[in-house]
Amino acid sequence: MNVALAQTVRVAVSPYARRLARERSLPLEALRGSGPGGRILAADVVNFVPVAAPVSPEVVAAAAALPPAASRIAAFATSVALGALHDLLAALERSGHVLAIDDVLLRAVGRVFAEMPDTAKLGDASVALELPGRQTVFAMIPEMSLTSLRTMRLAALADSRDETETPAVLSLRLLPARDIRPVMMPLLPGRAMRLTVSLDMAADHAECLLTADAASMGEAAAAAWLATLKSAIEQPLRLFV
Amino acid sequence: MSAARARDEFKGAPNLPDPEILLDLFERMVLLRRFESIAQIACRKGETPGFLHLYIGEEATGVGVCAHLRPTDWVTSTHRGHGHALAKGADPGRVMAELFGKVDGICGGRGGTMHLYDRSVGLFGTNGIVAAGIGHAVGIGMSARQQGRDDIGVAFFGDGAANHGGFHEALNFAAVQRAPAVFICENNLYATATPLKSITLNPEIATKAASYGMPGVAVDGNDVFAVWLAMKEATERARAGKGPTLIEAKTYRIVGHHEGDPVIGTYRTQEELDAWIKRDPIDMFRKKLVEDYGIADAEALTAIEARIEKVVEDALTFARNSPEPDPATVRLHVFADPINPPAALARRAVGETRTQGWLEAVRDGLAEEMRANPAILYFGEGTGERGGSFAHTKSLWQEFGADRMVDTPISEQGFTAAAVGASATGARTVSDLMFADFAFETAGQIFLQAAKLRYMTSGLMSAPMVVRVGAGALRSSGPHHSGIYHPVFAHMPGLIVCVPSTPADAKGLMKTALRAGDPVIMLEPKALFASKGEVPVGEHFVPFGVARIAREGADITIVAAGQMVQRALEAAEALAGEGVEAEVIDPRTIMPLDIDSIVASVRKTHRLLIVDEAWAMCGLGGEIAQAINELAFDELDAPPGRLHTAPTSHPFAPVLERAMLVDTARIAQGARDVIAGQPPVPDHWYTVGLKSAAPAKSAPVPAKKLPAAPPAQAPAAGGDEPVTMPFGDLTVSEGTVVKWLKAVGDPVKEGELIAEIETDKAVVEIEAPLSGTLVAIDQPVGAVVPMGGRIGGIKK
Repeated sequence: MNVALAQTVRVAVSPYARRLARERSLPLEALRGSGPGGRILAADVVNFVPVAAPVSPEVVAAAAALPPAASRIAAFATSVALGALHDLLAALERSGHVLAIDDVLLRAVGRVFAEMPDTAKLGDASVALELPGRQTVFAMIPEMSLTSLRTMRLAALADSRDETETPAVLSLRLLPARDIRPVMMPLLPGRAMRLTVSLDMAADHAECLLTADAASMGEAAAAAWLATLKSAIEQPLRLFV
Repeated sequence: MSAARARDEFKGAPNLPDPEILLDLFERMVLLRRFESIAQIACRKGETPGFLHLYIGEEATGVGVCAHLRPTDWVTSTHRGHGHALAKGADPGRVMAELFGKVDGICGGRGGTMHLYDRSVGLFGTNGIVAAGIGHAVGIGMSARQQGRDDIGVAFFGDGAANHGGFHEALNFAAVQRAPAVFICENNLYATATPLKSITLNPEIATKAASYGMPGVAVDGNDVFAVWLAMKEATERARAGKGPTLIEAKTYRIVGHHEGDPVIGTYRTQEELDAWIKRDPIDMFRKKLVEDYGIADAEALTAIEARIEKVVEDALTFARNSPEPDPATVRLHVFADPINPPAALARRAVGETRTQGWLEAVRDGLAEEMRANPAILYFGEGTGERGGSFAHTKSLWQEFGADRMVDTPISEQGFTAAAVGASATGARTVSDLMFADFAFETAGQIFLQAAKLRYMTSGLMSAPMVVRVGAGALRSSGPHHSGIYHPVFAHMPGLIVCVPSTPADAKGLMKTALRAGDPVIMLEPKALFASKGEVPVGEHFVPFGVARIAREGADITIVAAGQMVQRALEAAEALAGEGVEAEVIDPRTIMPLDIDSIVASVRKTHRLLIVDEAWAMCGLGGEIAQAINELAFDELDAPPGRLHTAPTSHPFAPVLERAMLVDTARIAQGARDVIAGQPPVPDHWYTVGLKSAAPAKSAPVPAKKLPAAPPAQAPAAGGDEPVTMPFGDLTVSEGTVVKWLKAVGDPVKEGELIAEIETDKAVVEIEAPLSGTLVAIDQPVGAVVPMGGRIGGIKK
């Protein structure tokens, strides 16, 4: 028997539960079905608690009973040239508009989702920015200006809100260390995608790693997604209009 | 010339009417004959879709009868009805266009040859169903009388129909009602190909009138003046309120049953045909006009014929040039648009209510509407002075009288046909069939006549009648008095189907039905007749297609109608005790079906159970569950479930009946099963055990001999006129060349026989389409040629 086939056990999910899981970017593998024959029902999705989150002891006990999430992931890496972006940011700074690379990255991620409607189907294309010990979630509205995005980001940095539980399709991690090429990064609970970015010392290149839940996103789609991101950052003018 | 003087000049015929009348009779007959001849050629060429039943030979009857009728009188007709349409005054071009299925046809191409309706001239349809139109004429007459007019209904039908229940029921009902109607039996001796004498021991159809206490007159149906005289008396009688007359017109069709059918076939002889051709109605009348009455010479009559020739040529050109209907319009004219009458949609302040029983509430609704509209007639068995089998018409007879609360014979077909005819001509009718099961006694009138009328006429006519029945199981009513059958009715496009569950809804839907534009099947659950409920006082209408949320809940949607609503509510209470809140949706009308409300509920509850008193097979459960699959799949947290009455007839023994019906406990358990993700498993397919049986061996498919490809329409070398294999019977696709009576080079005259072909059904003679020389024989004797294929050519 075909080994790959044998490994693909069909997960029974009610249509409504499937929709709820999709909206919450919950991998179906992480869920335990309580319906007939192990069918995953809406209640299983709604009551799902991610293991990593700080939770009460009872829930931890319940979660411990879950089978280990079979993390079937796909990962793609690319190196993105930042020269054009730096020139643009410098020019803007001279005219009094200060923007950081973080803002541009958030903007680029949102744009890629807008350009690839298939991937946006994974849920509402919200993006979680990973901060030390917490996450902050941005609804990706294509029309929003970079300046507004920056204002929102700075406001989120200023407060201590943790939106780890808020649905988002992707989490964005900026590694503090430089000259490191990320090779494998785990998905965070409830996030179907994770983008890890590390800058080199001269800050003229960024090493990007996209980790994606294979159950939620096809490999080809994930690779295309990353290629679109690379193109968006390397030709950054479009991100400013 | 004054009429009096003209009469004086008649030779030996002192009682003749004005010469104009006689000449008009002649002209009309020529019109009918020439129209049919042109249609016959068009049919053979394949220009008309479907097939035609030609009126050739019977013109005197249609013309003699219709000469007495006004545009506001109506005739109902038969499958052989082009002549009736023209005699009643329909425009020849538009009738021809209808035969061609064109947009300018009198029914916009939706009706065609056997469904020709024209409100403007009082043509109530040629009809594809034998005897179906006879009862319509009865209702048409009663409708006119109720509206204070002396217009009449006239039914044409054949000798075949005289052995049909529709004939007997309609004549009896008409006689006892003194209906302003005339019945014209065109006795052409054969019901299709079955001789009259072989199917009845009393072939004198006129004498059957005696059974119903009405005058019966037999006339020579080929003598237009004889028909005219008989109809004169019958018309006067009908208009004067003296009641109906049966006229048997003895006539003959000198063509086959339909175009493509053999003229003689196995059932007639050439001698018989020749004898009748000698009595051709047009030739006989021409001779009388010239020789006996002396009111016209041959030249004058030839001038009339020339004029008519132009009329039918123009009709043919008009039909050919008329566009095809737009396929985008195919869904129009099934129901009135909007489907609800304005009164049903008007917003009303929620006012006072009072507690009423079901029957009383509906009686109030009927009485209110009958007071508001004097043209409402109520037909039913024992619904008059007696007040109905369920006391459901109690006191209405006393208020509205016997003319409106009409006690009918047990003739469901007859009085429902009358209800169709009356409702389509300005009255409104209730046809009370007592039990839903009895609707099948008049299924044809409901499904084939009432439901289709609006569509067949491209929206120009409709039958806004109410079929009222007590429906559903109640205390061992048994196999013939327990059915509800709403899915059967809802299956038919054009029928509105109501299954109310409360006295208020029953009254409100009845009032809406009596103002609607379409036939309404009102299925009142007998089990609820004894129920009581709050009913709004005064004007209260319930619109079609708007469901009622009988109980709100968040955990499961239960759809139930009629007496199942109360059972579902009881089950919901039981479930509430277990912490499950069921939402109960009562659709109130099965057609139109408020699927949006069901979808909205499923979006809330994510689970669905359909409970229905009718059977599961092709039923409401499957219908709604599939609709949810299509419209709200992502909302389902469990497979939808369905609970129907067991797939058996209704048994008499109470213990068996209980075992068959859905009850509260089964609904509660069904809901639990759906919530557990395992809906009740139905078993109405009757396939258990079939799989183990050896599969029946299918007979080997015989190798089909394909007809030769249509010979490429041989380029009309030098522009000859093609001689083609004629189109004829619908079921025949090819013919064999049997004989060429002419050789290449022979001169031929238009209409001259040039070849014979044989199909599975008939030997058909091929006539020269024009005068000239036969220049080509493309298909030799023995060749099999598809219809429409070229077999030879003639050059002028």
